[in-house]
Amino acid sequence: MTRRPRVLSGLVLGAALAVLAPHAAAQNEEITPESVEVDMVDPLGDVASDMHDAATGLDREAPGADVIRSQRTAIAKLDKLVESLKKR
Amino acid sequence: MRSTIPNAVRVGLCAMALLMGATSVRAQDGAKPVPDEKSRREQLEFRQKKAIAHMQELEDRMFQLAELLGDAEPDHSMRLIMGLQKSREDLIVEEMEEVTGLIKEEAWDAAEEKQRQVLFRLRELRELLLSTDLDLLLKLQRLRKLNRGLLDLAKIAKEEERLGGASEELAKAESPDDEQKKRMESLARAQAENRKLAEILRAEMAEIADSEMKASERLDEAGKAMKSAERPLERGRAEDARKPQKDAREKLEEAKKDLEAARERLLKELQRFIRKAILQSLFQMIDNQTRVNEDLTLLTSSSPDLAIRRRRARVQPKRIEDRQREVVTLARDAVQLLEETQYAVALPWSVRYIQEWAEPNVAPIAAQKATRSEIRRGEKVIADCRELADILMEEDKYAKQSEGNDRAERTVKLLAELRTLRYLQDRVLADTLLAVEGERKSLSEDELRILRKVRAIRNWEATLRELTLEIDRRGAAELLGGDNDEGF
Repeated sequence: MTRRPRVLSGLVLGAALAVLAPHAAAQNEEITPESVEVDMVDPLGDVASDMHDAATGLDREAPGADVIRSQRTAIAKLDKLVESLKKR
Repeated sequence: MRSTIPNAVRVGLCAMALLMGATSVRAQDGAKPVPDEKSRREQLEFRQKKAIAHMQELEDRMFQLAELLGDAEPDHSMRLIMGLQKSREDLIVEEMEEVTGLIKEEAWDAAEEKQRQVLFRLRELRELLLSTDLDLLLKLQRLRKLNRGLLDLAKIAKEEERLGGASEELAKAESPDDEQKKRMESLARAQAENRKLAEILRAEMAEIADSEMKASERLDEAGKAMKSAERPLERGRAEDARKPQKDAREKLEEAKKDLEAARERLLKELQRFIRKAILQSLFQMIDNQTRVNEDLTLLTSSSPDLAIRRRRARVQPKRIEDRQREVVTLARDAVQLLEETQYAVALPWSVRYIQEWAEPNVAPIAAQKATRSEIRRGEKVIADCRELADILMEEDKYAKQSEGNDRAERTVKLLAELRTLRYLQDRVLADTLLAVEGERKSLSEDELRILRKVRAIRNWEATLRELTLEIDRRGAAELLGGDNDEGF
């Protein structure tokens, strides 16, 4: 009697982890100014493109890992541009 | 300066203070009046009409006092005349009458927003009457007139473009028929109307012209060219109207460039003052929100400690509500100042973002139902205000170092814009993560409501993109590129 619920709860837990894993990975993913490249022909257009990707991802019902990655990339690129301007 | 203000002016200011607190579409408990409460609506309408009467009396008194003070105290007299001018130009009485109309229609939200605008103007008027820095206020007034002038000029130019196109079309007919002649007559009338608008604008721009500004001369020439186009159109000769209309369009374009240049020069002069004013607002917001949070912490505490219980007993809920409202008002006024002066691209949106977090605190605090959730929102407001203040202080520091060097000055502005964008993107990311967390941890409905869920975040993300592109359009690439860009 107790065996089947345990199997079921294991399956549910597995499924939940599979759904949440990308979120968790995206939340912990390190995107730094050093790890991103900025297109110097159109630097702010490049940043705006990441923001566009994030906004498009947010059009879906729930924000996914790609949204968080795009937002983090935009921040890292802005950091890079800020640092560069500060050096001038 | 304050101590030298005549008693009569003080009486006027007291009247204004009464006026500012005279009417509110919000009921005492912070809730909107129930629409079917007829007597409540009538009461509000009555109070609003009373406030209008006070305002009209204040305008009369400013005029009478200015005349009385005349030669004896010319500074005060001029200040009162300026106050009167400002009141008339800002259409304060007319806007108050609009509020009455909105109350009558029970359009509470619109009435509240309009009231807020009236209060903003009244506060500015009070500042004008009390300020020691008349020069700054005059410059702000001039900037607003320039902005309004540019908007009016755009409408005139658009109409002139339409008239030119219509003349071009009609000129194709070698011998115009009756219907075409009628159209030309109608065009001549429209041309005369447009000329009158250009003449009005010319007079307004002449009033605020400095030695470098030539827009009124260009508008004068445009007006003359428009007049030359009227006659041939009246006589049914559209082809002869084309040349003067083309001249008019060119002169309008020159006037636009001149006005834009004048606005740029003025904005440069005002940068430091606007920055200071926004910093002051942010510090006041931090101060008020900190006090709100301290009081809320006491009220929500269940500590049996006698000292805490005593302090809790002294907390006045109405004062917490007033302070929380003040935070929202300060944010709104800052947004208005930033937008009217076009100080920056991203900053007004960042202050608006803070306002969106502070605003939902008002209702639960007014209903004395505040919980830890309101304290958390308050903490976020404080942290966000600090971050924006930090950006502005850094901008101020660099701006002082780069004075006189145009490229360096623009680089400092761009740096502040990028830092503000970064701040806003960071907050939108935090909201996204919270929304994801909310789904996982089932945050309370109340907390998710603040985020307005994913839709609101999406709107902010799309706004961020627009702001980034706008900063780009203003020539960021030139400053970000260049020779010494090894950093990329």
